[in-house]
Amino acid sequence: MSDRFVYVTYIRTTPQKLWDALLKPEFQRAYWFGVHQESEWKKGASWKMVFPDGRVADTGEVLEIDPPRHLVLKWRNEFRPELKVEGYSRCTYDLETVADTVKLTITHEIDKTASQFIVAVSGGWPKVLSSLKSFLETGNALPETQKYPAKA
Amino acid sequence: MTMARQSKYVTYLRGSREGLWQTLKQPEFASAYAAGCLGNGNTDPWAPSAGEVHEIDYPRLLVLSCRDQSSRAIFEMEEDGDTVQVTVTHEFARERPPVEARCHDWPNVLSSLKSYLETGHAGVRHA
Repeated sequence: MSDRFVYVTYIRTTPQKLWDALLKPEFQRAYWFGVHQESEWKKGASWKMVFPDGRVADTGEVLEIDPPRHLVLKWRNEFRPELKVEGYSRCTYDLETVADTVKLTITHEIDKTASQFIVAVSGGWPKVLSSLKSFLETGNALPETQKYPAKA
Repeated sequence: MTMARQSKYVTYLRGSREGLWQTLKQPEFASAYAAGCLGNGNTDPWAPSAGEVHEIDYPRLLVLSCRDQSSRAIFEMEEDGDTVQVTVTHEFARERPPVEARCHDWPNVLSSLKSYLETGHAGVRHA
């Protein structure tokens, strides 16, 4: 049994632009609460997400990569002990051209039930991906996502 | 009415609830979510004869029902600064709704709605 969160959005852009916005730190910081990711983006490479102050948020590994269409990450939370203890999740990015948009599907799953990690990412992904869509279509991310929340 | 199954979709868009509400009433969007999501053909759910607008608490809550009452879509709109959080919960009366009434189309409709409100263009829908 596993828990899973699936989110679909359609973004008016090209697969390559969306791929770059998803993977390149200078774009990530603009719409992802100021955090960025570090990886060599090849199969087997390590992967981590880093807060603006340098703390590590999440770590993992690139399991599959086929630019600009498909990416699978092994992904574990590192900054909330109750989430870290759940171990590794798997996050799949799929990009597909549909008319003049790119359909982006994020599937985030973990091999356990009643996962607090999946609850947490279920709240985060809609904000991040809504902001990414605004960023690519209008040039501006949503205000709330442009920097890390002061209280956190 | 007790509902057996539900799906939920959340998106955030730049704009106001009032602007969003006006857009939801535009025929191109109304027919899109009626056809693609509620399985109501091309019916405009806001037309006086349709009787499908179930509940309104302007501009916070809108409930649209399928004509045969087999499903309903609940729109909740929360404002935070100049961002609106939209949550669409689609409830089904049966555990296994007919294929045509299962909602696979909310991400498409709401992506299009977000583009329209933020850029003035809805984009080309594939459906």
